[in-house]
Amino acid sequence: MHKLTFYPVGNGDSSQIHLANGKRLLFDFRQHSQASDSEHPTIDLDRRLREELAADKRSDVDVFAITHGDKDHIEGSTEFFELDHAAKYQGKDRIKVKELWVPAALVLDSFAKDSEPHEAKIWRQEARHRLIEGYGVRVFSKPAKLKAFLESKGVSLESREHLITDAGELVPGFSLATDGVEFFCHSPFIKHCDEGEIQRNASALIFQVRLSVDGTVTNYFAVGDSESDVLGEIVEITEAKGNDDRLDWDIYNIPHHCSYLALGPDKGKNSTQPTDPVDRLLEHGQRDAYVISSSWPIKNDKLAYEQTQPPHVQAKNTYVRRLEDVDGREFMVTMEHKSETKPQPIEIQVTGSGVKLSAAIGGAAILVHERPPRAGVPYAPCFR
Amino acid sequence: MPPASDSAYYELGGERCDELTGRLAAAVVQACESDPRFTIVELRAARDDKSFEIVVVDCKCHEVPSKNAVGIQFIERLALMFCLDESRAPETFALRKDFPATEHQNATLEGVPASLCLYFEPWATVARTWTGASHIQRIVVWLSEVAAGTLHRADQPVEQLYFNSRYELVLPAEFRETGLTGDRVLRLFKTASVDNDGGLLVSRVVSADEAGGDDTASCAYMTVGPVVSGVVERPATTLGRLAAQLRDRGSDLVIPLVDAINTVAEPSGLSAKRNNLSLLILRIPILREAGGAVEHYQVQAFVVEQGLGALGEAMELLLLSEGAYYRAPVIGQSPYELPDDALAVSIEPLTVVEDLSQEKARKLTGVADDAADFAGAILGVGSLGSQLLNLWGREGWGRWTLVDHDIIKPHNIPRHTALYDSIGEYKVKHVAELLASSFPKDELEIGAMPTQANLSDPGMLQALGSRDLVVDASTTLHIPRDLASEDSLPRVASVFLTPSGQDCVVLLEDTTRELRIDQIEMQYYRSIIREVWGGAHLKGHLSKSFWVGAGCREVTTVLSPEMIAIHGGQIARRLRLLSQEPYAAAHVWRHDDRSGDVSAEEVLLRPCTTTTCGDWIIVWDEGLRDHVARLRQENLPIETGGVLVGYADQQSRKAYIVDALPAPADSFQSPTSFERGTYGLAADIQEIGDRTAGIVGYLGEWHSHPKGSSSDPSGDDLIQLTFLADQLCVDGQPAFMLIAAEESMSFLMMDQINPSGMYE
Repeated sequence: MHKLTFYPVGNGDSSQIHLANGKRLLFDFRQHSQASDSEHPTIDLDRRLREELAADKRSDVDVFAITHGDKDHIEGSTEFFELDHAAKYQGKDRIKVKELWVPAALVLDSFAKDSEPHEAKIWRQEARHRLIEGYGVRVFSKPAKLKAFLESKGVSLESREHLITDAGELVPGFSLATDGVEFFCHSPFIKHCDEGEIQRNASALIFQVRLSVDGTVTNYFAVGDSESDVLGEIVEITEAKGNDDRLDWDIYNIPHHCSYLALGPDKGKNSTQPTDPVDRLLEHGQRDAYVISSSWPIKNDKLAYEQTQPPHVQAKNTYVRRLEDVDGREFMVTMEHKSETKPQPIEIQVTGSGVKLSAAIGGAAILVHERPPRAGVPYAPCFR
Repeated sequence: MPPASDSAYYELGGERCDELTGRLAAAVVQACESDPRFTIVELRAARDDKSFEIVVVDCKCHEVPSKNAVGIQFIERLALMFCLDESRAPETFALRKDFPATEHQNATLEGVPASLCLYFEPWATVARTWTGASHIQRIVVWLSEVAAGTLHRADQPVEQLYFNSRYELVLPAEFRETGLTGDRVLRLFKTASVDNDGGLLVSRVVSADEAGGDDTASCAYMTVGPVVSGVVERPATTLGRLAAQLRDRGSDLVIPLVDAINTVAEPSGLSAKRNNLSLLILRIPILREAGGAVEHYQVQAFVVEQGLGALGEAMELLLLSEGAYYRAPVIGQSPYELPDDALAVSIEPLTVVEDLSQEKARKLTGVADDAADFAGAILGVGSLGSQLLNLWGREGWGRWTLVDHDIIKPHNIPRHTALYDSIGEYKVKHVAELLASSFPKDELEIGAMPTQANLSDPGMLQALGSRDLVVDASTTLHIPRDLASEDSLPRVASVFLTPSGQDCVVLLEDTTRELRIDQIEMQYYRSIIREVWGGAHLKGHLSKSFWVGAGCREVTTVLSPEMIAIHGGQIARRLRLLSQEPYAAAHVWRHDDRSGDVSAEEVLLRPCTTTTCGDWIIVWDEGLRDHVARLRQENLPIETGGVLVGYADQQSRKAYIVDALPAPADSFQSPTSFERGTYGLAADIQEIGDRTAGIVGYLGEWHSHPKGSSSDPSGDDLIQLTFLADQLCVDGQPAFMLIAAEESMSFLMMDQINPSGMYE
C-alpha cells in the first residue's frame, strides 16, 4: 500500500508520497509562520514530518521536490532541510535530502522575478552545487541557458544529461516494477523557459504519478501552480502524442489553491468556465476520484464570490460539477478536513483495491493523540 | 439522489413519517444528522403489530477502496431498521438490488435485501455499549472492511457466504474431501435443538448395512459436476434457481438430484410419515480454471420444508401409494426436465459446520501439527493419568497407548474421569473409550494394555520401546527406576502430585537419554534438601491416608479433585511444551492454598557419572563433585569432611549420592586428619528424611585429603570404613566413603552383609 498525504498548510502546498517500499517523496514544504502556534489552524509541518521520520527511524527523505520557488511552497524549508552547499545549513537535526527535484527555472537566476523569496535563492545555490558536483539532484527541462550556465562553471551539459529530465519522459530511478510507481513529467516545457522573462508558475513541475499495487493502477495528477493556458498546452501535446492515458487521474491535486486561473481566464459569476483543453483534462477523472484543493476553507457566501485571492468558490463549483459528471467521490480542501479550527492531513491510501481515505479516528481515540485546548483562567483583561 | 422508491432499490414497508419515536431509531437519526458521511433519505415506521422504525440513509464511506473487487460502492443506500421491542436486534439492509453477495451477511429470503451482519456479539451484549454513533460507525467499518476483503483477499474470491441460517449442519470432513465410496452413506440425525425455528443437524458417514438412523430418508446428497472458481452468488431460494445457477456455471443439478432421490426411494419406498423436513446436500468440485484439476470441494446444503418423498412426487419421480412413495415407472426416454412444481419448491440455505477432527482440535487448541504427531505411552491412568489423557487427547496431542492393570473402584470415581457405571472395568479401557468417543468414530488411534508395567516382560518392553515418549504417571518409585535402567526405551518423563496434593512435579529425560530419569530424581531430592521450597514440598506423606479396603495396598489419600485439575492442567501443558525441547528438565509447581498462587521452581540438572564398586553402582553428578571440591578448597590446608546422604536401591544395586553435608561444628580438623563431629547432625539427617518422604538418609562419610595427597585411602580411612560397614550392617546396608583430593575423588564401599572386600 502506498500513501499520499496532503498537509493543511493554508494557501500553500506540502504533500508526500510514501511508497510501500518505505521511500518518501516530499512535494513542496511550507511551515506557515504561525504553524508552531497550537491555536493556529495550519499544521506544524516541521514537527509532524520529524515525527513521521522518527517512526521510520530515518533522518532523510528520498526526494524533496520544489515544484516552483514561490514562498507558499518553500517557506521554512531551508531551516528544516540540510543543505550541502554551505555549513550554516548543516546541523545535527536537519533532515537530509537524497535527491532534490527542481524545475530548470529555479537553477537559473535569469528567470527570477524581483519578488523572489530569499529561500528560493538559497535553494538555487543548493541545486547548482549538486548539479555542478553531479549528485543528488534532478533538473526538469533543459533550456539553452542551462547549458550556458553549466559551461560557465566548466561543466559540460553532456556530463550532467543523466540528471536532467524533459517533459514527456518518465523520471529515472523509479519504476512500476521496482517501486510500484512511475513519474510522467508533463511540465515544464523548454519553451516556457526560453521565452525570456517568463512566469515561474508556468514552469512549475507537473507530474502524472502512476502508482500500482497488486496490478491495480492509480493515477495521481500532481500539479504545481499553473494557469489554464499551460495546462491546456499540456493536454494538447499529450493528446497529440497519443498519450491520453497520461492525463487520467484518480486523484487531482488542483493548482494554485483553487484559483480560477487554473481553469480559465474569467472567474465567472457562479462558476468558472474552463478552457476546452482543461475541461478535457477534468473529464479524465475516473470513477471514485478525489480532487484535493490545498487551500484555506472555501466559503459559499457573498464575500467568497467577490474575493480576489484564491481559493475561488467559482472554481470549486466547476470542479465539483465535473467530479459529479465522472462519478467522482469528493472535492476536498486541506484546511477543511475533519475540522476547520484544527484540520488534519488528508491521507489517501493507494491499495490493490483502489484508493480510500485512512480510517477516520475520532472520539476518545483521537483525544489520546491530540492536545486538548488549554485549560486555565478566563481571559479577563478588564480585571488586570 | 434518486428517491427511495427508485427501481434500483428495494421497496420498503411501513409508512413514510417525519419523526421516529423509538429510542434506538431516534439516537441513530441524531447521529446521522451530525455525521457528514450519512445523509438521511427518509424515515419510515410501521405502527402495526410489527412495530418497526426505519432510517433510510445514504452512507458515503471514504474508507471503501475505489476499485474494490467485492463491489461495495462509495455511496450505499441502507435501511437501518429498529424494532420498538428493544430486545430485538436492529437490522441493517443494503437496499441496492445488485448489492453484492459478501461475507458477513445474514441469509435473507428472496425479495428481501442483503442483511448486514454488523455485530459478532449477541445483541444483548452489544446493547450495553450501543449508541447511535457507534451503530453508524459500525456500518462504516463493515462496509470498508468487507470492501477491502480484510478476511478474503481480492484474488481469493469468497466461494461461499457465511450465513446465519436457522439450521446448521455438521458435516464429516470425509464427505467433503473424498466423497462416499463403496457402501458408505451419509446419514442425518436431528439433535434435541431442532424445532421449527431451526437447530443443529448432525450427519455421519456410516456403512449402508448399519441399522438405519431415524432420518436417513430425509437426506439427499450428491456430488455435482465441477464449476470454475469465480463469482459468488446468493444461495438460491428455489430448486429452480439452484438448478439454473449450476447450469450457468457449467454444472448440473438435475441428474444428480434425480439419482439421489431414486437411490433413497428404492427398493422399499419412502415412508410418507416423516414428511416435514428434508435436506439437499451438494458437494461441488471447484476448479481454478476450466479443464484444470479440482482445487477443493465446496459443500452447500439446503433445507426443504417437505419430505423427500413429496419432493420426489413434485419432481414426478415418485408416486404415493399406501403411505409410502415409490419410484414411478419411467415413460419414454426424453431428456428429463424439472417440472414447474419442482422448480418452485422453496429451499433454504443452511450453514455447514465442519465436523471435529484431530487436526481441527489441534487448530482450536493451538497445538502445532508436527509437534503432535508422535507415539506415546502412559503408565498409570489413575486420577492424574486420566486427567492428562483427557487434555492431551482432546487437543489431539500424540497417539497414546495406555498401560495400567488397575480396575475402577468406587473410591476412584471422585477424582477420576471414570463414571459410576464403569466400576469394575479396567481403567485403561474406560479412559481409551472416553477419549475415542470425544472424536468421530475411528478418528483417534488409542491403545489400551490392561496389564502391569512390568519391564521384565519382553512384550511390554517391546511395546514401550516402539514409542517416542513414555510418561510415568504411576506415582510409584519403582516404575521410573525400572524405566531408567532400560536402554531400549525412548525418552521418559515422570509426573506426580506430592502427597499433600499442593505441589506437582515433572521430571523429563533429554532426547538422547544422557540423563536418565533416576538421575534426575536424585538431583530433585538434592533441591528438596537444599532449597527453601523443599521444606513442605513432600509434607504429608502417609500421614492423612486411610484404608479403603482390607489390605494395606488399598491405601488412598485425601486429595481434592480440584487439585488434580489444577495440577493436571499444569503438568499436561508443561510436559507438552517441555517435550518440544531436547533438554532434560525437572520442574516443581507449588500451590498456595490460601491465595491460590502457583509458584514455579526449576531444578538445575547436572551431568551424572556412575562408578562401579563391587556389585554396586554409585550414581553421582557434577553438582556433588563441585560441592565437595569447594568444601575441600575452603578448608585448605586442613582436612574436612562430613556425612554423605542418599539412598541405596537394593534391587538395582544402585547407590544414589544425593548430597555431602559439611563438617559439624564439633569436628576435629587438622592438616593431616579429620574426625567428624556430631553437633546438629542427627537433627539434620532427621530433617533430610522428613523433607524427602524418608527416601534420603545416611549413606556414609566423605573427607578431603590435603594438597599433594592422592585420593587413595589411608590406614585410618580403612579403619573408619570397616567401622561404618559394621554399624550399617545392622540396617542391612553397605557403607560408602568418598575421598576428595586435589586431582581426583575416590569412592569406597564395604558391604558386611555380603562381605566381598573393599571396593573403590
